[in-house]
Amino acid sequence: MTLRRKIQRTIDFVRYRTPELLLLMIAPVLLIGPALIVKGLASGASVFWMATRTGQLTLQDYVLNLGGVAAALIGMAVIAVICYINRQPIWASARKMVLEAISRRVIVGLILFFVVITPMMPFILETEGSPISQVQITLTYSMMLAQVLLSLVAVFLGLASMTEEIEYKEIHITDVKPVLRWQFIAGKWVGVMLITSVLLYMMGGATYVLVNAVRDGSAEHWVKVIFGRKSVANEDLTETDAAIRKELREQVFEQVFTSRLSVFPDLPKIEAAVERDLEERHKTGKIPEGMDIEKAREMLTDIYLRRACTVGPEEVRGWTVRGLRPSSNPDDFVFVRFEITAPTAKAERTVPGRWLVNPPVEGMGAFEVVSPVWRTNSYQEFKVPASYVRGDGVLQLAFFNLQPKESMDVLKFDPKTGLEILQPVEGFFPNFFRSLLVIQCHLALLAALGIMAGSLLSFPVATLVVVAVFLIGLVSGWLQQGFQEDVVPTWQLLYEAEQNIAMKPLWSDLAANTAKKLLMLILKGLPNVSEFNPISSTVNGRLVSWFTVAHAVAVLLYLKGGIVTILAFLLFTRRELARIQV
Amino acid sequence: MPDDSSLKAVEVVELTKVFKDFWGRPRVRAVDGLSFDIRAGEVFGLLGPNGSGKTTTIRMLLGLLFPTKGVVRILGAPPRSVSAKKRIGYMPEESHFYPYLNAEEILDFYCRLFHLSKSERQHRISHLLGMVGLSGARHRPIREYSKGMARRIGIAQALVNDPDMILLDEPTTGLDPIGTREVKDLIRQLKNRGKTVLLCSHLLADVEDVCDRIAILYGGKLRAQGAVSVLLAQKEQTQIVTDKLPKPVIEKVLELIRNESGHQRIEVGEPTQRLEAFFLDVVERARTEMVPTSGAEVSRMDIQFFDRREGAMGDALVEHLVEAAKVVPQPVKPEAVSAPNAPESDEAMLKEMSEAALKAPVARKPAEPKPLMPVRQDVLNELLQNPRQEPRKEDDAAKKDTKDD
Repeated sequence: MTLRRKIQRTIDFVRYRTPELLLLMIAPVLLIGPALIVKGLASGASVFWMATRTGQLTLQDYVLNLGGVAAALIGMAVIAVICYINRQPIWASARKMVLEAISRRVIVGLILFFVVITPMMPFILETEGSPISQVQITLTYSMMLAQVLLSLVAVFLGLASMTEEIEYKEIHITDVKPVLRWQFIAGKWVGVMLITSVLLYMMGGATYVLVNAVRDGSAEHWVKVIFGRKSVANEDLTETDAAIRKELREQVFEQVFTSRLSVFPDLPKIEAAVERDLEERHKTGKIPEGMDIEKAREMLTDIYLRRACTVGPEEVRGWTVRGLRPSSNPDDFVFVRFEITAPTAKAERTVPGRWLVNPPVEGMGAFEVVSPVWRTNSYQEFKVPASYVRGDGVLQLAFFNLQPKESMDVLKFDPKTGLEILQPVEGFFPNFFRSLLVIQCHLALLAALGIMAGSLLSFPVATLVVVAVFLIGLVSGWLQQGFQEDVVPTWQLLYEAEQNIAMKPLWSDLAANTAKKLLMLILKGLPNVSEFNPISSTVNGRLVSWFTVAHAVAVLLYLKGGIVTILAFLLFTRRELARIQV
Repeated sequence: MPDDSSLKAVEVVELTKVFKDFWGRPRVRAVDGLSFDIRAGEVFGLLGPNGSGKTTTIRMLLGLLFPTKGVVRILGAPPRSVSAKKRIGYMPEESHFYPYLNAEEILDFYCRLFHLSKSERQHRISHLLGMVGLSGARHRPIREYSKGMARRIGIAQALVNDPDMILLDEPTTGLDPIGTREVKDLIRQLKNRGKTVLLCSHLLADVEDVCDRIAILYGGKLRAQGAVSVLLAQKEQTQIVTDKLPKPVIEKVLELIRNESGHQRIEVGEPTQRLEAFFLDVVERARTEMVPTSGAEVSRMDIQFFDRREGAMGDALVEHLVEAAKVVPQPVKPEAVSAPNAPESDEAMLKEMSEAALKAPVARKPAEPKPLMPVRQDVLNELLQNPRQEPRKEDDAAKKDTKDD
């Protein structure tokens, strides 16, 4: 045998054994999850303790969390058993899917695209120049790129494979063999998942290495070495600059390379005021015609909440946050993340203000943060020693609007998202890993969708449907938000009621509401990229908990994916695979 | 004793298939009230012109299409049951395989669907590729195969599970005459091993050569059905075939026939060889002379490796075949297909079949033309001893009408 032939044989052998190779590659990932859980439990179960004792969880939340975990575990076990019992036909179909995938050059092209583009990101993306923005932008775009590329791979691999099988009559021979159609489809799904999962963790690994390089400056160093020039951020530093730079790098660790549990403050107590106002309006007939009492209560609650979260000039506003973990360790901090909205100016500007954190015990001084340059209309953070958290897990803080009264400048905080406390509970890697698991759930749903479309429709129609669903999925969050908002704004309804202006006819409201509800139902059923979106959480150092992962598995994989898969099984089993030919 | 239904490999009752358009309106009635049975162990031919519903019928037998009306049972089970599929081999009319796999990988994939172990897969793939003459092309992707080579892979995949019932849809399409002959030999071998074969074709010569019974379709309906020998027998005519006779003798024979029978229509001529036999003879000579070729190799369409185990391979196989060729051929009685879930009886039957098959002759060279009926030597002698009439002048319009097999 000639050398060339030997090499060709070796290549053929490796190619044919790729499915087994991918299995070997994915095996460590299957071990990382349990290892992280064990480690989390061993370290005082902080993650689990915090995730269940925020003081804000209702019984329903507990049921959902624990139910999600139970469903995820039981579902995994059921899937594992089904796959084991039917392992031979499913694996035969899966490994053929993998071989088919690697024969498609588009997959190789996508991987090359990622490999080329990702390392260039820190240098081609426009950032503020600070290390934290560099890391955040790099992390955001790398993860988004990986998710979008792999979503395309997941959805189109199954789709193309199924439509070609039917179009080119390859399935005529396979279907006659002792394999049930659901086993055949399940094998395809396993094959697509195997490929996309391995690619996801490879891309994830590359992203992890890259953001670490950006964080510690080695990326800049290599740019300097390779291109023989200095990067913008690598100027000669004075001592002060070096100190600032060090502080900025610490910020990266504190705000990105961490996983922090998010806790929101109690909502202001406005129920009594709302009820009084509602009664008054009811008596005076100032409730809009055709509006039921519940809707009016909802609107008034919204108005009172917003009023309660405004801070006028020379005024103060306080919050109470429960469920934090007290700590006497001087190195432990909690982070206050907030957004100030200045309604008089749409563009970003700075306003003077002072934050004060109440001491947990008498005799201890209050923690004060004064800055003349709080930016409006963007999120920012400051840190507070964890020792300021009271023994019962409560943190009290207040904001002073330092603008003069004459300015008439009322600052606002969103009642629900305007302020949150972030407490570090774990490192970056576990969080990043869990984010990849959530992305994997999205890919599983898309793979099922592609296979279902391919098994029922011709290639052009299936592609059209899948692209439409994919695009809707990208903007679904935005669309849902739009549909949630009222057709007529609250303030307008109340104003019109006060002025006794005639309302629109009732039927049009009903029709609009019905249409909205229907669209919302459809949107909720379709894949939604913003649902369980782990990227923004990871980038902001927020905890992506195991509960979130379990919830994503339950909703994306079992509920939505399960419905799609069962539909595919049922419809494909009842489909005639041959066409008219007489 | 097996009941009557167990002797039927296929039962088709009042089968109808109507293709409908998008709006559910009937578009084409491809098969219309078709009923027939295929007995276990026979070679059954489904004939008909293009568009007569043959392929639609086969696809309904396989569960690729669903009947609009009627019942189909194959090996005693509905077409889509896994138990039936385990015992079926199917070679479609067109060879569509996964183009990114090579021959070995394709067969490996299909073997995996039959839950075969790794060693069994390797054993079968190796032998099947050798059988269809593709051992040398086993690592080439299927997309590089010629149509004939793809057909050969089609044959191999249909046999990966040593099926009890084989459905062949136009199996000789795209094959050269050698391949065609090999396929026909293969069908005979399958029959000898007790397999049931459904052959769907419009090449009448192929069907005539190998089928026990046939059904002829036209317009989706059954037009004729029965044993080939019965359907084709011409009982009003007599054919005599003998070695080369001198002209005076022929004249005497003709005179005798005229005198004795009073028939005036008598045709005499030299029998011609069938083109297939002539072609195979030419190729065989070329092979003997070692003329090089880049096409498919010489294949050996023998399926007896299914009966062998690890110890009887290699040289032992050759010896086995040589010994088998020496044995006087014995007619093999078709056996009933065993019921599913009876491994002991399957094993026993397989052994019995194997012994019978090993005793059967192995086709090595083209068969000589044979008369339809044996020559009656006593009649010939009588004819030659009573030359009473003048020889008949040869009629130009009726030079010959030699019937061979």
